[in-house]
Amino acid sequence: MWTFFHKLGSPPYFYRIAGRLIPWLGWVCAGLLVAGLYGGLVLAPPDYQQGDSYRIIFIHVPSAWMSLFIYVLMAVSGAVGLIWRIKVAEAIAAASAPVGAWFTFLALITGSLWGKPMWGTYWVWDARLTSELILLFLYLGVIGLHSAIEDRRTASRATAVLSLVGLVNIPIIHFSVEWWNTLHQGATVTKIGAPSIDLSMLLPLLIMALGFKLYYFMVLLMRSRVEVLERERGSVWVREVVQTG
Amino acid sequence: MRAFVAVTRRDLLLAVRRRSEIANPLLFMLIVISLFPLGISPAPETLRLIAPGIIWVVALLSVLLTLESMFRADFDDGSLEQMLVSPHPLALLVTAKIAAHWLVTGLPLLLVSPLLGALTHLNAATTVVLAASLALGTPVLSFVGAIGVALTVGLRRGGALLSLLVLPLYIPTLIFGANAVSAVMDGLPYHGQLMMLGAFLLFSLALAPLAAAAALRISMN
Amino acid sequence: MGGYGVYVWSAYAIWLAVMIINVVQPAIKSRGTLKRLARSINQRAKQT
Repeated sequence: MWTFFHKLGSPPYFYRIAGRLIPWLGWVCAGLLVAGLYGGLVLAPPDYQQGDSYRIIFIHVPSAWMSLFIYVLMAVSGAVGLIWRIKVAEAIAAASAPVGAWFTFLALITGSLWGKPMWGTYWVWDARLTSELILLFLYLGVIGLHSAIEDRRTASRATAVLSLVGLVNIPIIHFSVEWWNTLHQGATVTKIGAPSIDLSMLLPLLIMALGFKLYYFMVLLMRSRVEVLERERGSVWVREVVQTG
Repeated sequence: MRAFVAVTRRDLLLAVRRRSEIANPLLFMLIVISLFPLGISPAPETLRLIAPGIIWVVALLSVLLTLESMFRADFDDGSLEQMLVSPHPLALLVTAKIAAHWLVTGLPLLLVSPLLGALTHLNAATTVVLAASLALGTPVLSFVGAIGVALTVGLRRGGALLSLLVLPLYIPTLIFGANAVSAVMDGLPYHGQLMMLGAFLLFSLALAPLAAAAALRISMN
Repeated sequence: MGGYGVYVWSAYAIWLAVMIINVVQPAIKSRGTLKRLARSINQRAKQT
């Protein structure tokens, strides 16, 4: 087990394994997403309160879960890269930030499209949407810092510190926003996230969530393969990879 | 400890020599605050409703304006590199710089808070809580801001990036700081909010210098 | 979609677009990187 992880830390091995994994992840993920969409859009009955508008849940909630999950993974792999100087971990952290930002964006957009029929407006300063917006700012800060520093390794190390600071702050920000939101209640009717959910709705939701996760791993591997190539550009194995095609 | 005092004293001396650096953020704050009655309404009840929020937001912005100067001069003349190789723990020296930064920016802000309160029709009791919230909250801004400055110190276009990095992290302080003031105006308990600010202060005192020191080492190599 | 079609379908359309962008973009980038690296390696081979 440990030797496997150890090997995975070596860029050529990672590049090869990732290249082999990507198609598998792609097919399984596509299958899960199609199944989830069929279950969510066709099989699941309309909600008795929200009608069909709740069907946005099948992309909204997994996006929101992914946005947080990716941030944690980005910060952890950043820390691994910072402490043990593992290049693959640095590449994974660098590849995670844009994907995480996209999922945060999706959570916001789908949340606001769900909010329009439910609340009558596209945007409500609801605790979850506000936290998600701040998370988007945190992602944009990480991406901005990474692109502002020329040297990739310095950029990775600086970004790792920033994302760890962000990780420590996320619970504090979340708590503050929740507290702030309870003070200004009235405008918010939290309909997102029903307390009890029927199995016919829960099952597609979980399938979609799993599909999202595999999708993320696939995109992550694709992006970090490119990162690893760029970072190792002078080495022998990259030359071999490039010449053999 | 001696190194701590020496760094703080040196920064204070430098700041006193360039007095405009202390005065400018204060003037910025006064001017921006006086824009709100002109832009929204001079009616006392309106002002009282928005005063806690605008005073705190403007305080955030004026601290943000001054953040860049925290390590800038030391970076330019090379004394920052001296600090990195000095035998004293870097986190301690960074704390000294943060303390000096607060004494130059946060403390004056605290001292003009009665004036800000008067401009926005806050009564005496509210002004006291405003000052208390600023006293507890502005050091947090300096501490957290130091991490952002340390990360961007070597960059040419660091200014706009710095606000992107730092402002989201300022949100909890803004929420509790502004709310302490509006709570006392509504006759509600405000000690909880001040205690939260105190907790943030202790937390950032413990962790921010370490993070800022690590960030400095990364951006200086 | 019981009158909610506009919202549901536009949400799904945006989602699908983002999912496709995120797969296509690294694929294009990886092809470009491979080409660029091949060119620089060939150049270096010629110089020596």
